[in-house]
Amino acid sequence: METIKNYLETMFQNLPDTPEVQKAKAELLSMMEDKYTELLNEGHTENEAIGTVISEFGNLDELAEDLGIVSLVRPAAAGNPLYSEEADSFPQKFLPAEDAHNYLKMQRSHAILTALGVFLCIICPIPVIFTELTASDMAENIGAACILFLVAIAVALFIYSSVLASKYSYIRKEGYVLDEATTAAIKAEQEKYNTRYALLLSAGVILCILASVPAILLESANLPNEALNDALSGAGVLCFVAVGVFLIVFSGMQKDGYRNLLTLNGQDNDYHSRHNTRDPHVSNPTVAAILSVYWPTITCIYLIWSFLTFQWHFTWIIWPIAGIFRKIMVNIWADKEN
Amino acid sequence: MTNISSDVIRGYNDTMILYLLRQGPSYGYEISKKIKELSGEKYIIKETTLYSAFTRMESKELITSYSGESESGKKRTYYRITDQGETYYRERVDEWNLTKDVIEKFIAV
Repeated sequence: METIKNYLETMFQNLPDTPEVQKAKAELLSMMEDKYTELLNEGHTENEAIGTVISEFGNLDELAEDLGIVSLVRPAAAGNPLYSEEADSFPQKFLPAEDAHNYLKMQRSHAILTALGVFLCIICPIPVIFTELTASDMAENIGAACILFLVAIAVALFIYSSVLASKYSYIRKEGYVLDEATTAAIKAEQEKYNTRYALLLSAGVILCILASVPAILLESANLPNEALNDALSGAGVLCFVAVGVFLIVFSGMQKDGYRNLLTLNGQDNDYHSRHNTRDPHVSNPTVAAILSVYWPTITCIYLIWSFLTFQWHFTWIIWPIAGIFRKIMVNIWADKEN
Repeated sequence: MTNISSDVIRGYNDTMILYLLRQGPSYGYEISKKIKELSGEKYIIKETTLYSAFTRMESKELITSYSGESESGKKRTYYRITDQGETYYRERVDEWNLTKDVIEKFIAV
């Protein structure tokens, strides 16, 4: 048995010590052990048993894709002309595990930047709410300038983060797929993340629901200055909603990162595309056109409505309504895959 | 013994494994032993081939694995077929019947 263990050890010695490789090694050893024991029980000599087990072991090359070690097994094979044909017979391009993880990292930054942009858009009226209190034109103008300034930063963040994301668009365009090891690793990470996601999302939703609590508390506090009281209530609502929406957007986009990677491999794709609400495929041209300009339009409506009425503490309601409305539209018109 | 070309049979490893798992959960060595027995010792599946098939099918959710213990208390990974695996198996059987019908027309004794 020692000989078999040594053999396996030698086969694996140049491979990275990843969980996948360890699992493969343990499984292979277990199978070889079973076979060895049975051969001995059948009356074979130790040497015969070892010979059979080793001759029926196979080739690690076969596991390269499953273990995500193609790059390690193939270069050795690359120098060998016998292997070149075999390499050509793999039509799938595997995304290196490192790139997959870099993509996840990028998606995290993408999520933070986008969420921050949304956050800024929501809190942008706060300066105005306070400058309104002072009767001075000067202060009011500064407040208005602040709005533009914050929106400008937000837009810059949106643009920058989409440029970040576009660097990785080649993954899907060029038809990369994930090897089994990377898939397993990402699935494990996704599972870990799911708990965080649930927490962040619930926190976000709770904050949005509790948004009016500061206003209610201020109401009962009965501050002498009623205008200041109103301003604080308004700002409080916006802050709560802004943080809540930040958490929802951030957690959701990060989740998308995992999903985007895992749907690269066809099998999962069919399943997930039905749940994919982010880029739904709509064949009705009118609806498709509406959806393509949906969020910018909502943003315009939000800003115009808010500026005209100055009911900032109320107009944010357009966001959840718009979200639900879009979901309904998508559900009605999106192409059903199955 | 005429050797089976590994390229040809590779496409049917999944079918063989799923056939065996349809009879109940099993583990690596037992499956390789049954394949050897059922094929009349004409086909011996390599350990690496088998393991690679397990990981591939597990990621496609055709089978699931769980750890258990053998009678002797040895820790083992057992595999079980899923509903998706069942469907996939039936598709492969249909495909094989079709392939067989076609190829047979070109086989002269």
